[in-house]
Parts: sequence; structure tokens; C-alpha cells
Amino acid sequence: MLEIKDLTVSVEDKIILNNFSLKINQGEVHAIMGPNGSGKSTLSNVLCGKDNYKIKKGEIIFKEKNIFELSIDERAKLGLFLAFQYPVELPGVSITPFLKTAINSKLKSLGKKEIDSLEFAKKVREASEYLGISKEMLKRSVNEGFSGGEKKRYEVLQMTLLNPDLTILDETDSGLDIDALKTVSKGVNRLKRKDNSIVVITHYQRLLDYIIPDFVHILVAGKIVRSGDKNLALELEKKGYENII
Amino acid sequence: MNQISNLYQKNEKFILGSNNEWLTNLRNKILEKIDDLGPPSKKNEIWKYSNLSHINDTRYEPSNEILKENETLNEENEIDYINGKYHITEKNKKNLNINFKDLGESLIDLKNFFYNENETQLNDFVIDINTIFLSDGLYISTKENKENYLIINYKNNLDYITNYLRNIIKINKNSKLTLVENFNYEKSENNDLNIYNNFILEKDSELEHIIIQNLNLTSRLLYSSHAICETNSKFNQLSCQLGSISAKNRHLSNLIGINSQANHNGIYFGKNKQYIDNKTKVTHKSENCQSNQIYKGILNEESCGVYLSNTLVESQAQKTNGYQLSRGLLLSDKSKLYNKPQLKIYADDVKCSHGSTIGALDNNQLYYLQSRGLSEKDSQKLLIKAFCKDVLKNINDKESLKKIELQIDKWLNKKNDKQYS
Repeated sequence: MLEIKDLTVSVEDKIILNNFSLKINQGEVHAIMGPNGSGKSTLSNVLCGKDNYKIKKGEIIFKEKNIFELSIDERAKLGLFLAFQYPVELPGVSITPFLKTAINSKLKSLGKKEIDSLEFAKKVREASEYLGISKEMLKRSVNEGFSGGEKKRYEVLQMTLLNPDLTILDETDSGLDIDALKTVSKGVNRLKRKDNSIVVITHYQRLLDYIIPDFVHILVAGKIVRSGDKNLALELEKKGYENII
Repeated sequence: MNQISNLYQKNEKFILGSNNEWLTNLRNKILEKIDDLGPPSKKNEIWKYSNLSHINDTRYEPSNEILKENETLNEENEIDYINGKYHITEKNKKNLNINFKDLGESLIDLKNFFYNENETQLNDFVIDINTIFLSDGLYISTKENKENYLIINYKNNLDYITNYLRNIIKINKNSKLTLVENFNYEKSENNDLNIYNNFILEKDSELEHIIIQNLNLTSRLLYSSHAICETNSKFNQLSCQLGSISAKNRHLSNLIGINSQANHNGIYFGKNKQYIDNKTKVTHKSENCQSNQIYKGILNEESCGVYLSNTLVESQAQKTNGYQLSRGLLLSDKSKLYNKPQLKIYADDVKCSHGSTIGALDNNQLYYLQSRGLSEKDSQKLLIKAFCKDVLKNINDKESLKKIELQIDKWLNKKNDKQYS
């Protein structure tokens, strides 16, 4: 599904990711944990194609394509989805038409016809109910005035409707109370299939109680310093970053 | 003698109201004033950022063409100005709720509007030359207690002509009018239009005034409007500016009756070397009145925008609620926008505020939209349309909104091959 080879990335001459390598197969859930400033968000932004990052070396192959040759939207259409740590507010951009435009952009790129309005309404209703998103919220502008929990639920709603092959959850647990964390995790788990993959980026072990990873990687100073199974996260929780490296 | 006096003397006999003594006297007084003061200068605040070449190149070249009867097929609530001449059809005359009168024939009743009573004749160069060279106009009034809809289309099919038009529109007691003005010179080039509209909103009346200006980029526009709002009346205006190489718009309201309201909303789009200059001013002259001046501009390429907003609260206008907002979106490094909000408050129990911002499209917003599969161009378009939304939501007329949205789409799509970065 995804292979990152020897990736070195800098911002304003400061190396953020340093010879970073990672391979993710279909059906796997990977957790990337690391202290502040270790390069977690840089990794997700570089994967999605945000500019401001200088790729000094390495490559990223997603679904057998070199994604450095693709624009941000082309990567999204290929099946990459980033659930943002801080989803931006888009005043004046109504949620429902935006969702429909996003779905149709993807369908168009696959050479498929646009989604039928009734089918779209049904999908939105069903996914919203599951995630506890009210009808009133769907009438608002994207993320405008949403609480932290509402923003994260809305990210998962988009993920549900866009049905990506690879999802990156960038600190999805930040700003969530325990009930919201459970709802969001439930929403993510429901989308797990044998043919898709999930990367969970987080500081804390707590999210991994609900989204159980197959692999846990510890990222420090732009490099993976240890990898293991879900027990590594538990060990990290007990010992802290300083003592586990 | 200045160029304007020369032009006037050469063409005096063709100008509307030339046989009217008081109007001729007024014109001579204005010409003397122009002689004394000279043409507008950038030292004056309202001309500071103006493109004065347009103002100083005053022309008088009216059309002499007479329109054939069957050239307008409008319904009873739609009239045309073609090549600077209004056309009232038999259907228009059958409209029982709106009365149309020739401005020239009504001058005897309209003297107050030309002199400074009620401040309808403003001390302004643009209005002065409108008064001097007036070529045509209408006196329109609505029937009391009725709700009406009126469309005025300004069309030209001749090149190099000038139109000096004035409409005096009275919204009678407890009546409501939606007035849509469409400016579209698709079939002609290099035309100048100077238009001045007066609105009188009587007690409990309502006017929704929508201007959709999409002139071609060889035409120049000077547009002035002035509204007098009596007790409990509501004036809601939207100026949508898409065309014209040089447009200078000035919209003023006087809130003279208690509980009256004036809203000046505007959106303007600039490209190439377009110059779009907007000014709004609300004078609060009575208690418990409300005003909103909300303008948003989207400027691309080498276009230039100016927006001056002004709220004047006189000492007797207690409990005033006044709001101003100006926001500009610059889509290119060479586009420019000058904003200047002003508040002058002489009463002590008022609530007034203003805000002004100018910036580019937000890169984080663009990234978010693109990460959902929208192309860069589509993301930009979506954000530009979203930027306009909170101005457009202030308008109730759904038909006009649809039309404006369509025009905005056209404007955005014309830019397909160029990035807005």
C-alpha cells in the first residue's frame, strides 16, 4: 500500500525527517508515537503534499505510484486521506455541497458517474447518525464554530464518505473528551477493512485502547527509533519517551 | 472658460430641461462653481485614490437614434434605457402599481430634488455634471400599500456615446419595491454613463435595490444614489460590480425618520486594469435607526479598488446602531485595494463599529480543500464564492441572487487558465 524509503525532509534548512523509512501493507493499522517536534505532523503533511517542505532525498510509493509526482488533490483522489489535527474553518463553505463536490471529484477521477442525490443524502444521513452528528450541524459551514469534538467527528464523517485506501489520523485524540474519543474511534474502526490501511499519529496510548494497532513505531528527531506491537505503546505509557529510547 | 462650460454651451439646446428657467440658472451656477474650484483634485479625500483621467475627460456625445416601437418586448414590470433613452411600453403603462413619468415633463414638481433641499442635490462633481448634461430620466412612484417589482435594463448598441441619466423614485407609504438595475453594454464599446438615482422612502415603506453592473471593459461608469428614509422605512441595497474599466460608485442614505434603516451591501470583482471605486455614507439624523455598510472586493491582475465608508451620527440621533465592514481579497501581487472606514459621532448613546481587512486566499484553507480531492482551481473558486456569501445573504430577491451567482461563476471561469496565486 505505502512505502516510504529513506525520506529526508527539511523546513528552512532544519532537518525534520531524517532517513525515515516505513512500509504499510493492506489491512494494517500502524501507530506512530513521538514527543513534540519529532516530525509526526511533517510526515502527514509531506504524505498529503503540503508545500513549505523541502524533500532532500528519498521516495514515497503509494499504490505503486511515486506520490511526489502528484498534486495534493491527485493524492486524495488516489485514496489518501488526512484527518487533520486542527481542521480549518471554512466560513461560507456549506458542509453538504462540499461533501458532494469532494465525492464527485474522486468519482470523476475514477471515470465513474457522479453520485445520485438520493444515494448521497442516504449515505450522509446514515454516517452522521452513527457519529452523532446532528442535522443542524450539517447545515453549517465547514468546521465553523465547531467544538474540538465536533471537528473530529466531522473529519471521520468525511473519511466515511470518501472511503480512502490509506487514512492518516493526525492526533485525532487531541481535544476530545472520553465519550467523543469512543465515538470517533468507533467510527474509524467501522471503516477498517482487509484492503485499506490506517496510520494513527498520537502522543498518547489512550487512543490505541480503542483503535488497536498492528504495529507501533516510536519517532524521535525524524527517525523511527523503535518498532513493536501494541505492547510497545503500553510500555511507553509506563516509562515515558526518555526511558524507552 | 473650462472644457465643461464649452461643451455645455455648444450643446445646451439638446440637453433635457434646457427651456426650464430655474434649471438653466442652476446649471449656470454649477458651471461658475466648476470654473472657480477647478476639476476634482487628489487633495480631496474622496478623489485621493481616484482615476481622475476618467473624470477630467468629460464628454457629451448623446445618441440621436430613435428606437422602433417593437424593439422592446418587456413585461409590465420591466423597462429599458437604450442608448440613453428610456422606453416605456404600453404594458408598462398598464402597470397599476407603478407610475412612470418623463423626468423632463415632471421638472416643475421636482425642483426640490435639484436644489439642496433635503440634500438630494449633493455638492459633488459627478452629480454636478449629471445635472449639467442630463439627457433623460424618469420619475417613478409606487402605489401606497402595494408590493412591487421593477427591473431597469441599461443597454447600448452604439459606440462612443455618453448618457447622463437621472431617476427619481418614490416609494409611497407602506409600499414595498424590489428594484433591479441591470447594466449590460455587450453590443457596444467606449461608452460613458453617468447615472444619479434618488430614492424617497416614505413612512413604513421598503426598498430592496439591486445593481448588477456587468458593462464591457471599454465602458466607464459614474453611479450615484441617494436615499431619504422616513419613519420605519427600510432601504436594503446590493451593488454587484463586475464590469467597466473605470467605475465610481457613490451611495448615500439619510435616515431622517425614527426606526428607519439603511443597508449598503456591495461585492466587486476586478481584473485586467479595472478601477473600481466605491463610497457609502449613512447619515443618522433621527433616533433608533440602524445602518450596515458591508463591502467585499475580489481583485485580480492589475485591478485597483477603493472603498470609503462613512457613518455620520448627528447629535439628536440617539440609540443609533451602525456597522461597517470592508474586506478585500487580493488574487495577484499587482492588484491593489485602499480601504478607509470613517465614523463621525456627535450623539452619546450609540453603538457603532467598523472592521477592515485585506489579504490573500488562506493557504491552509486551500490545502484542506485540496486534501479532499478538489483541484487547486476549484478550491480557489469555492473560497472566493464563500467569501461573497455573507454579503449576498443580506438580499431577499432570489431571482437576482441566482443571476449574480451565475455572473460570479462566469467571472471565475474566465480565469480558468490563470492561477490566482
